Amino acid sequence: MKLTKKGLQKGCLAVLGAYLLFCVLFLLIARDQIDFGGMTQKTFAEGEVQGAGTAGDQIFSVPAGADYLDQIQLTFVKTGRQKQEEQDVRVTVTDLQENRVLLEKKESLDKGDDGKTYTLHIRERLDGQGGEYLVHVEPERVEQEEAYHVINTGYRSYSSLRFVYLPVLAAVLALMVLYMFRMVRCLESGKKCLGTYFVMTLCRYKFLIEQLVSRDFKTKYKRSVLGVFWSFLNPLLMMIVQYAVFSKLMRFTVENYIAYLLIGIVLFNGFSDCTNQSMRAIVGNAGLITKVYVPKYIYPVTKVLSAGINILLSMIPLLLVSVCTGLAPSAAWLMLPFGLVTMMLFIIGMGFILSSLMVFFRDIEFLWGVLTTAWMYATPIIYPISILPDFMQKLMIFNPLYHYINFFRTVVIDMQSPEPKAYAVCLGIAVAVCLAGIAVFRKTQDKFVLYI
Amino acid sequence: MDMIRVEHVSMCFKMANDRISSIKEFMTALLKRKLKFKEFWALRDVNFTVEKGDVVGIIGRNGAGKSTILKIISGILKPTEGRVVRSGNIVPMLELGSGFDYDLSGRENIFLNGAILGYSKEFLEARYDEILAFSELGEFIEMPIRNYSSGMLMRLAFSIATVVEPEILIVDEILAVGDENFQKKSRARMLELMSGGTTVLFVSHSLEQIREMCNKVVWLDGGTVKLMGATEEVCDQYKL
Repeated sequence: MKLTKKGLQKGCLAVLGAYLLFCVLFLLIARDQIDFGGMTQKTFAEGEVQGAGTAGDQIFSVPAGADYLDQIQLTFVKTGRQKQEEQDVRVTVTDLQENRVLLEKKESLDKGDDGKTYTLHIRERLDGQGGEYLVHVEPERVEQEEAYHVINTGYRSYSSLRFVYLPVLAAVLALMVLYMFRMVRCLESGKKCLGTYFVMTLCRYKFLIEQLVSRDFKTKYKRSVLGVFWSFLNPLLMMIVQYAVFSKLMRFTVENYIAYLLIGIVLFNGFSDCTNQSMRAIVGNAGLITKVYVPKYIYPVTKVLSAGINILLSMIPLLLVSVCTGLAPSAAWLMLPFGLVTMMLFIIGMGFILSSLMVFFRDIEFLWGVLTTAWMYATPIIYPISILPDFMQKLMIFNPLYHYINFFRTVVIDMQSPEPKAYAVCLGIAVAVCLAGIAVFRKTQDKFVLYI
Repeated sequence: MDMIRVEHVSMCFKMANDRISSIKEFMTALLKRKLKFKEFWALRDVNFTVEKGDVVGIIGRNGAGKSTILKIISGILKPTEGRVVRSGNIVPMLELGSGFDYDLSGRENIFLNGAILGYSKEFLEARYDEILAFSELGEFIEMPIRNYSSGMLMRLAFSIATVVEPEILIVDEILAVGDENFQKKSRARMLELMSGGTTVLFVSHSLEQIREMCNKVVWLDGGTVKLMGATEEVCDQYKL
């Protein structure tokens, strides 16, 4: 398929359109995160909350300088026979200054949930003067009143990054537009230009990419009975097993443990699966590489794409289960594609590196298996990061998968957009690893033929 | 017009003393200082030009470097020195059935193989019936090719290759295989292509075929061009 000027222009407009859409969504959905700085958590000492420990109304205060009330955390104290009963309660938080209800939420307390922490997301902009807020807990069944503690509150101060992000996004847009004009000019004059070359190769081999992806996808499940359905079943089964084993331990530290686990499992298994498949991209396609010239970059990319379809498919049970366990879909879900795309770029970069190493050192296959197992335990999939010692928590920022899994968890479990910094980190990792992968691949690709 | 220009191409292969294919072996060899490789120069300073419409035969003894130079021209191997300038799309027929995936059916392989050779979906769909007819496979086309006999495989591979309309065709001794019927068909198709103005690079051990089809011949010996010129001239001089 030849690349025409019209085709290139249409493609460029499509990319620009997608970028603009992303910018608009980002500025809208992450508005609160952009305008306000990091969250400060204030744990209430004895006596700071009026009425704490009783079943009645409790009043807590927020200091001046707090411009955004993020959340409060409660814990319910069950006494005597209440321990054995299930109870539904309605929690209301009222702003005493304006006499306005900020939040009304129903929580169900399962039997034996003594001491469990409940987070209530308030997400209100305040006037910054500080003030008092009333918490009222109403049991659904009249006879049983629940005693509770408001243990801490989280709030943020105004520190708008809008003046940082708007110019950055606009500058990127300008650069993209300029480069696209250059690409079109290159196409007309026939000069060599990296962008045009890339798009031309994509066009020329589009059909081959489709064929390779569909071949890999078909052969993967050809011999199995369940076939594609396995993409749904695998993460669910793993989650069930891990939930059964760890839920008693983690109940009090992690809320929404089912969704928490499932996100970690889906993303990590997807990563592990994709990298294992892409490792064999060159070695497995030896027959093709030694017979016909095709840019070798295509092989790892198609392997990652075909394994990536799996990740997309397992998003469906992930989101369904999240909704079923009480996490409603929110506007923030629109940001999930960003997380997915950046993670796929990261995996493609890893794929380039691994597939070229595999050609020269065949035992990379086994080493990688061990590495991914260790990596799994080093990532907070089963456990929350808070149980790790401080210095390890700090080291966790070097774990790329931690950032991606956190991105997803923030969107699905916290139902809000992640911090703008998280976007930058996810994108940064993806670009860095991709570039490194391309560099490694480029240096070694001419020698592949001699070793396969 | 120059379709292919081979300029000062040399190719050096490093022969491993021991085949090193794992990290452990690499480390051991590194520590034992056995990491030096013997060098083998398969080609040295090869120069020639192919013009549009030429049918160039390449002859030489086994090990002279014929397959190597073809691989370099096709872009599969990168030469140690020198370069090849090409101006047209190349269809290599270095082996029949390259790119076949044994789990897929004949039909799926037609599309896969066609895609690898650089043909678009529309082109293959339009020519699908032609391919099917040439192969004479009938309903077996829907079977996975692991169940095909070797003759069926060859028919399938060649019929995919027949619908291509390459600007440059590179053929490496594939016409030597197959029964007489197959040989006849393939020779007929080759002649058809050549009369259509396709540039062809052709390796063969059969001087008969070379005299029949080629207008220029390159004689490679020990990695260098021993003689190059018109068919008659070179073939007369060629003594094994």
